[in-house]
Amino acid sequence: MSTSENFTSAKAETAPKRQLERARVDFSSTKTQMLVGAIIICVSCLVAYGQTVLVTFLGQDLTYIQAIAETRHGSFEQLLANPTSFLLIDYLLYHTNTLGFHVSNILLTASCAIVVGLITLELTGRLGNRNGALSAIWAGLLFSVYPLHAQSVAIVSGRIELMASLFYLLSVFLFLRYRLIEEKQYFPLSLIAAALALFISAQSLSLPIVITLLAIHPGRNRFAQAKNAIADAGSCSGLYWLMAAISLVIHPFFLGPVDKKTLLLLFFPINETVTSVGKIVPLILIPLIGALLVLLLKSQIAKLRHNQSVQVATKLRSPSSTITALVLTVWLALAVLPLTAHDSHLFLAAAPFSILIAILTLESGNTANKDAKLLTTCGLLAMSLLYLSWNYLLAINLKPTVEGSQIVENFRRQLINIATVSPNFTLTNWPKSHLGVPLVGSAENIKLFLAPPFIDRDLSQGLVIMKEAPLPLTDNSNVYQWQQAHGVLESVAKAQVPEPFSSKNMVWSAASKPYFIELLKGSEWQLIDSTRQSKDLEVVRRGVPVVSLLQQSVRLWAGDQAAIVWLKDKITQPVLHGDRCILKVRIGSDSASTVELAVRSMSSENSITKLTGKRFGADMYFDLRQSDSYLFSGESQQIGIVVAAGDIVSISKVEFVSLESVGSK
Amino acid sequence: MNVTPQISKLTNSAEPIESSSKLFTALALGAIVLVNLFTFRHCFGGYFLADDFVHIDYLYHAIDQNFMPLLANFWGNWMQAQGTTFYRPLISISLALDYLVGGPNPQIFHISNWLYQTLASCLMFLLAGQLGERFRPGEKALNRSLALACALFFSVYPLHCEVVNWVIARVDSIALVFCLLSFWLYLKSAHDKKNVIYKLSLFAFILGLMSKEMAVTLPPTLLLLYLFSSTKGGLVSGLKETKDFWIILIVYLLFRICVLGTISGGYEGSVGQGLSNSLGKRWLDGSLWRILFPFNIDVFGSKHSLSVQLKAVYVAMLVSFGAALFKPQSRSAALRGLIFAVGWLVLSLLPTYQVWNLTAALQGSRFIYYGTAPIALIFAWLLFPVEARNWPVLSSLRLAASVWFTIILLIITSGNNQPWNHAMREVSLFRKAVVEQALKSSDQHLCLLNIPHTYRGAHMLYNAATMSVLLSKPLTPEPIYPRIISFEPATFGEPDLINISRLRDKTAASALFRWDRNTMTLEPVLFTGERSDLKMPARSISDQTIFISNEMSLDARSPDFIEVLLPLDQVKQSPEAVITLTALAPNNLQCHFSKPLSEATNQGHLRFDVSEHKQWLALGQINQITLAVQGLKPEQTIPIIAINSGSLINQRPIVVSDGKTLIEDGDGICRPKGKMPSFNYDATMVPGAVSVYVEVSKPNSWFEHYSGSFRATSKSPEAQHSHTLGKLKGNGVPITFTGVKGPGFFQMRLAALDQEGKIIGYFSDPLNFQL
Repeated sequence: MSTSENFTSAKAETAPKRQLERARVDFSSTKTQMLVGAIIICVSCLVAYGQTVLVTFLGQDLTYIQAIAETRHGSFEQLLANPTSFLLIDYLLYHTNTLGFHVSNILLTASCAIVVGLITLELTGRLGNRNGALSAIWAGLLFSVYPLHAQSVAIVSGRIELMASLFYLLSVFLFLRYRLIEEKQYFPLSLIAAALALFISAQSLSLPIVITLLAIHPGRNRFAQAKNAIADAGSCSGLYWLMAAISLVIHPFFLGPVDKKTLLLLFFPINETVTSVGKIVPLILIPLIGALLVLLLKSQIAKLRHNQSVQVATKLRSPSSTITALVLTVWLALAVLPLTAHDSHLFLAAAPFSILIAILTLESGNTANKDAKLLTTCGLLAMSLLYLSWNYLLAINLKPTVEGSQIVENFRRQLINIATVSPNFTLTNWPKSHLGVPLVGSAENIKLFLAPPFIDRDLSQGLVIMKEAPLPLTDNSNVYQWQQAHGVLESVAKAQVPEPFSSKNMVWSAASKPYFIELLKGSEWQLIDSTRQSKDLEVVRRGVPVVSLLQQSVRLWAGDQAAIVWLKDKITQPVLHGDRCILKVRIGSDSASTVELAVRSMSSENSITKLTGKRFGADMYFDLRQSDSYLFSGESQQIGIVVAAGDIVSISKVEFVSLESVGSK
Repeated sequence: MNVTPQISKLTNSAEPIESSSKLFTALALGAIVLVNLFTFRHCFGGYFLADDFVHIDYLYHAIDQNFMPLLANFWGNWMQAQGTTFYRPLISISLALDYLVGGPNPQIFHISNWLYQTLASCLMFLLAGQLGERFRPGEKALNRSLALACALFFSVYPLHCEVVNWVIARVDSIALVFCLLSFWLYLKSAHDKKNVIYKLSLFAFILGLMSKEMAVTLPPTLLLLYLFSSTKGGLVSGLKETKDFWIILIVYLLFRICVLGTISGGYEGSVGQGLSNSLGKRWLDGSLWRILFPFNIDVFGSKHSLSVQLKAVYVAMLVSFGAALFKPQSRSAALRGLIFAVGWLVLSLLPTYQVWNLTAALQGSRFIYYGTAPIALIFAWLLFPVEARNWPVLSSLRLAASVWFTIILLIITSGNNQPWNHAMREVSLFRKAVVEQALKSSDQHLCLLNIPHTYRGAHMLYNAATMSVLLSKPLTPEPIYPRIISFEPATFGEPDLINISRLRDKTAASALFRWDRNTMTLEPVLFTGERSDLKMPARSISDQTIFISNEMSLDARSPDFIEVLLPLDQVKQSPEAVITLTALAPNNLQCHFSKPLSEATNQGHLRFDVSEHKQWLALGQINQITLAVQGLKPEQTIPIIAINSGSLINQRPIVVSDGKTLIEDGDGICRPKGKMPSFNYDATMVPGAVSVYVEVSKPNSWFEHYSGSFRATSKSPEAQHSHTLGKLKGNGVPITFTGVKGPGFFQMRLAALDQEGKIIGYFSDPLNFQL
């Protein structure tokens, strides 16, 4: 790598007359550049993730913290069962103060980004690099703001991924150091880091392959003269393979296919529940295309120089960036490939991705060349644009977590207040998720809010949680439900005997004409009686939906757009009535078309949820429990039958059926 | 790290350049194989389609029983088929090889098809490199780029889906492989006629001619190359140079006349005549435009955003080529190369003049497969016309455009592949469902309706002949075809038309099932309605309204037509207005018929001949109909006087086989079982009839192909024989009395004549027979 003088200071001279040479920083030194780069990367992380420090415990965090708290009472079982032992130090330092946990997460992310930079430095060194630490710093910076890091960094339990990635990257970096210079101590350190990475996460199973590829990489290293480089590479990566094989005992191996969505996510890393991919395409494509053009231009200039029969001698000895790019692409492919059934994030994949982009765009063999300077400037421009774009997308991706944290905090506060005044109460709903971010998670987590270490005394004993709504309740005076739309935990009004369903025991046909006249009054639907006895209302307006009454059924004709027949029934507190959960619609066993179900609150008619049903013979069954807003909004609900645009369907019966009668269906 | 840069001169020795060239060739060929593998990866799990079945049956009999027909292909008409004249013995040999390896396993056939496409792509790479060298000797880097780009464009060109996915469409890929091989070897031999490579080139050309007629374009292509490449010389010296190829071609043509009796060959009968009649339309309906914008309209819609990107690339290509013309020293080579490529394309299109039919859904894209080789060359040539040594920006942009173009083509090809994958899956599921249903009722016949014909341009099961193979050995171990009654055209034709007399007769005793293409299941068709006439009251409708009938219960087999009675003055006022009749079954299946008012009779009757359409009969029972009109003036209404249904039973004679000497098979074709095949007829039910007029079609021609309907009211000019019978009823009338002779498929139909010899009512439903 490079010179030994990074900070050069003058030696203290004994002669009194001689002045000390002024300390100065040599910015041409790669080490200095990297040090400054590391500081910039830290700052970048702090700025990007600063807003997460106040995020509360979400999802699995509660279980992990509770498990750690158990250790104070001498119970280590849960701690060993959970892979979050690293949180123990945080817990000892900060107890349940989330601020400390998040600062640790940010520092770990910064550490990962710095190691990414160091790996880049090692790789560019092999390419006869003359751009100093430029590519390395940009690789680290890009990694630090990769938008899919949002959940791994902002949620405390993302620590598993951070730690596994840090040890993985450290292992790679230390191995590269070991291969480059005669410092054997790096090899055992790399092995230790690999062992830790493999112990923590199955994602690290790709490590031996990456190490082998890097060992084969014909870089400028101490084994360059070895006669059999491949055998040598095999020998020094053997221990990594052994450790990976041993780690299979801990991690069940699962090789899944990469779906298109994952690949799309890699390039367009956005939480789709917040913003659609289409909106960010130009934001991502412009810098990436810019980087690609720089790369193409670079290759053509190299060809031009080659054609002019002038070649830099070092180029002949050092491998081309193509080989490095190939190694990184394989690493990226391995990182994207789901190695376990639980892989969800692309935290580690961001490392080879960032290095690849930085090296291909910024790596240049000879800065003295005029062309190379121009290319570096263009590359820097593309990198800056990409960094800003990713930063922006990261902010978008972090938003649901920050908002979700406020929702959970609000819920927790109200829950503790209720638990304090009502020793026994039932909870029917809680904040489960927000824009793709898990909030409280499972029902078991709610009880943790009401027990140490999160509060001083245990208030969870009197809490009953309705896991599978609805349950028959005899005394419902102390039933509470979380109304997400209003952000309040509200007492559920006393359940009344529901009014009979208007369509119950009624065949939908011309015989029930008065029912349909009433039902469709004021709606867009046109009603015609098509039975043989009728002689009127046979010409209808084109494009407007029609209800045609037949002898045995009612035929619904949607017009040019999908149409909904809203039933008049007001369904109040369905959460307390098991017989208002499954709706059966009879469409006939050989029906060529089907229907959907629409649900809305009586107060907010524009907010409609659509449900698809399951067909069994002549009937379609709709499970209304799929709709949280139907069960838990606390408002009267209305249901409707949706006919798709241009579709025609005949219905002969619509009725609620009990859960028991549905049985295994 | 301090490394002192050292300047060294590039070595000029030939050895490293040669080895780097070999390495590049190896890497490029590897990449081409991978690209082909990725592009057509889904084809390996496919199934047989359409004509494939005819070949499977042929192979089954040739390999398992008698291989002589396979050899007879070398000295006779391909597959000894009726209705077509081709000389393609090598195709049957290639299919036979696949059959020998894996039996009727479709995977082996699909692997071979993919292999031919990949071989063609690799040869395209080698040939384009040679062609580049021919026009621009010494420009190694440029010619390499040209060759690779050309091969990649060819590999992913979206008009190749039919050839790769449809087993029998290998005809085109095999022919192209041999022609490209011959062309490449010819260039490689450097015109040394004693060279083994040159002899191999001639041999490959012969194999090409034995694969498909398209190979005849090779000698003119070589001549064209001679005229436009850098070699000095005129037409005569060019002919001398390529004389061996011309001699082979002339011998081939003479041989063809001897064994086939024709030079051109192709399709015969009403199919061939239909093709001839629509020649101009097929070439000028925008099909040439589809070569440049190869979007399957059923997949991508009429307008897709990718077409804008394609246009951008084409503009980039033209700009790249235009820029090259400013360079005087390379202008000539660039222009000559382009003219040769365009000439090659024109030559490759010429033999397809008769059959060319590239539809909007890209059906018939196999006819341009050969032409995509010069097309890929044109694109590559436009992008790489000259070396851009001192213009790194230009060369970067050219590379980027090539990659961009390849990706766009790849995306389009992926889309165009989808219908083929779906079609193969659907045929496989159809077979499974029919077999299951047949096994459920092991002693009964099974009537099938709505057999899948095509899917978004992909061929499926066109006729009873293909279905018979699907449901027989070797594809179905327990042959169930003898118990199947189908209503498909005997060879090709309008799939929705049906012989209602036959359906009424067959469904009286056997259950009818329809293939539901949405759910891909076999559903029973229940004729539970009443056999009554329809009479509906008067109503006025406009563009803004729809007439919906009251509920009814009508057996779909009962009425022959539904007639809308309109006031004559309204008909004359808006002749372009279109009336659409929609029928609904209780299960909400629908069918639609549309007719312009101009087709109304002088009495104002607009008649919909519903019973000759499968989509109507598939409803089983009609319980509601609607009527809508479009194209009226604003505020204009049309008073519908009445909507009635009616039967043609008293207006059409009946003609059937006698059931002894002429027996009808499940496919609706009667075949002789004796020396004197005979038929029965009856026209006594037609009031006013005094004699009967008989028409027999030309071989392999079908009357409904010309008229588009079974409801003819006048004599057909396409009839080969016609006679008048004095008796209104006859039994055991020999077919031979009409003068018809085999071999071939024929159609016979009858009409009642009045005293003046005019036709009364309609022609009968036809009697189809094969001699």
